[in-house]
Amino acid sequence: MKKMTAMLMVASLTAAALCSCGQKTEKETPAGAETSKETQKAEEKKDGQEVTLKVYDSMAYGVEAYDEVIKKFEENHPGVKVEIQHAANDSNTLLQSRFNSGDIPDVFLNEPGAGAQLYYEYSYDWSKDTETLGKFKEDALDLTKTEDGAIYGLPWTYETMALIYNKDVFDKAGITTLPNSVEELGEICKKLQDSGVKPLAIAGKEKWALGQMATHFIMDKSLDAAGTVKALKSGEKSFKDLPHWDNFFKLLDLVKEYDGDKAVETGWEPAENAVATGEAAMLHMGDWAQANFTKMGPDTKLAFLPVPVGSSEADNTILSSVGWVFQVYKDSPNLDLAKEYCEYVLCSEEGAKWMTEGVDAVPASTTSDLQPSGDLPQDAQKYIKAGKTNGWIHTICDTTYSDTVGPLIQGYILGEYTKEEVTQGFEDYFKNLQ
Amino acid sequence: MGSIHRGKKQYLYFILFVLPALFFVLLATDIPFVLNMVYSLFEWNGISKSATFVGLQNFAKVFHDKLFWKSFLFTMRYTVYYVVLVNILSLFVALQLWKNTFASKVGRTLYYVPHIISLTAISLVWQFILGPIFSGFYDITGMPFFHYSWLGRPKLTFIIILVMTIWQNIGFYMVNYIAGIITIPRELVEAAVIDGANSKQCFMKVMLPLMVPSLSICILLSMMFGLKLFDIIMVFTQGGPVNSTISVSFNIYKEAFSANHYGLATAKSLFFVAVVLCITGVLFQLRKKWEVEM
Repeated sequence: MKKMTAMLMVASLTAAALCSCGQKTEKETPAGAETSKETQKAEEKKDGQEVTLKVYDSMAYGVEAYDEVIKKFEENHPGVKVEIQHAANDSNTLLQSRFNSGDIPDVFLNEPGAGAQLYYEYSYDWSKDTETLGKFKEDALDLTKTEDGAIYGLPWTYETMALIYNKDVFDKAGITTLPNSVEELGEICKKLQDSGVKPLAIAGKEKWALGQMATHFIMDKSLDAAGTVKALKSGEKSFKDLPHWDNFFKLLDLVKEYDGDKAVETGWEPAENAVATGEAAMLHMGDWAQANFTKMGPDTKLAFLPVPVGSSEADNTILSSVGWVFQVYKDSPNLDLAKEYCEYVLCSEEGAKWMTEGVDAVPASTTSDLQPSGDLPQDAQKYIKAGKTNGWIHTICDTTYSDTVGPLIQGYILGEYTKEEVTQGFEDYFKNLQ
Repeated sequence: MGSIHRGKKQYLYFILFVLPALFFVLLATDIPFVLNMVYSLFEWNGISKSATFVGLQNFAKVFHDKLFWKSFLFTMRYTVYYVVLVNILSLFVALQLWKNTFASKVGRTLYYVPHIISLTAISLVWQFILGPIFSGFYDITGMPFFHYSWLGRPKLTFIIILVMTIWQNIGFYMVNYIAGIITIPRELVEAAVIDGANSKQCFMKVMLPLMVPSLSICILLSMMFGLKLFDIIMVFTQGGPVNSTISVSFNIYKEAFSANHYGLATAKSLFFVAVVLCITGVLFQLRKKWEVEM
């Protein structure tokens, strides 16, 4: 009897193991039979079966409004089901695991530059779809354009970053003119402190926030973002040649003086909160945070303060670029549908509603007249139209930029590194770029 | 003859029972581990379809990676502090709470609760403690202790991570020690007392030697925890400030998924596996020496 039970148990355990393998192979078959995918698709539709479009959303901005767009897309395409994964944290890792495990999404998002480049070999090249490309601003398309003219992604919205200040707090402190040098910024900090407000809250815990702040001082306006990075990478220019680099340390000295003892432990959320509620006056951030600011302080008036990196107004920097690009998996069984989806989301009126109202950002497509309503994106528009913005440096470096330079800046703020050591760290980072 | 026959049969049953489980272990752990060894010889970004064979170059790179050695030192330093402190403290707590009274049951529960709270909740709790609670205390008492930048200074952050992880796990080791204490025959302790041993001698000469099995398992487990430290770093400090709290696992993770140097990351992990194996081996030898027959 004992023997029987034992044998039965072993048999069932083995069966269970084999069953799970069997299921896997079954699932794999349709993907393997690629030859007849078109006919298969047609058949599926005839049978009333659904085609599933797998979308990976790496940013999760304005999710509710996005879901509305998807619903409309599904209504317009009967038999299509959009399966979307929103990932706000650790989205790179998740996307990579999906590629590694063979569960490749038909549409996925990356930051243009180094992030998107990792996936170029999987991405559909849009360069022949001139009609679609005509719906986007050219400088936005350039971000995923390779030297041989291929375009591997469609741009989402513009994101702009610089110092952001709380207008009410500035008014109360009697500050009417914006600074044109770090010294003038220092005077403003003093005035603010005298009026009982913490002048700066730079979110020093976040390596990315610090790294982005540094890019203003790296920017050589005569070369723009790509040119500056190229010159630093090739060794053609060193940090000593950069016109405004030294002023970065003057700004960090202001941080030391005016951001309190806990500058390096403050994360982005408390920092944004402090500015939104008027507890602090300024931080370095982008207009992507508008929705957060509105949530934290609905009546707060905010505006951009172009970073006074040099000594005149013309030197001030405000950096603007497309934050995310939509990439399409080129071997997707639903390639046409995936392309249609991207175009719908980025160029339709519903999509524009998501981008402008749901996320409060400026679309990179030109098909809709809708404009964002928040203070920051509107303010950003002013600078973009006047041609006063430059591109982003941190996205065209590589994916380790923040992790490499962030700790250096933290070290300077805490007094562990000298100016020379930090500069050397930056120099080494750019020289080692591939 | 009969006994041999029976032994063979039992052996067969043993294999039959183990096989299904072994299959899954192989699939989930050992095969990826072997694959890892292969990856470590390649330069691969983790995404691309193609990888370049670089031989042992990745291993050479490991030895020149300053950040890796910084994280290695941090992990070792953390593990030593953690193993010593958590074991002493939980043994102490176990000695107070091993009796089956109502008070000790309540105490055990209180100590064990942090162990079953999810990590996200723990980090929220601690952010709350170090934020509003500490600043509230500072406003009332004016003590500078409550105004330190606990997460903004490398040395203080080290202490906080140590305190947090000890707080989280003390209950787990306590339970192990209580189990160990309960198995000690009362007669032995009583005999020692009759022979005139005081409570310190009782503990050091009778109880402790008999607790070597639980002691060694607790030391081993806490050492494993210390060496594998990852989640708290990931959720709480992200390796900061100034890279002072990067653990080896976190460094490997960043190398693989953020810097996209998959081969280098696997080389680092293999090197670390070797180190961990050596430490564990030494520990097992020591355990054999310490253990006494009852």
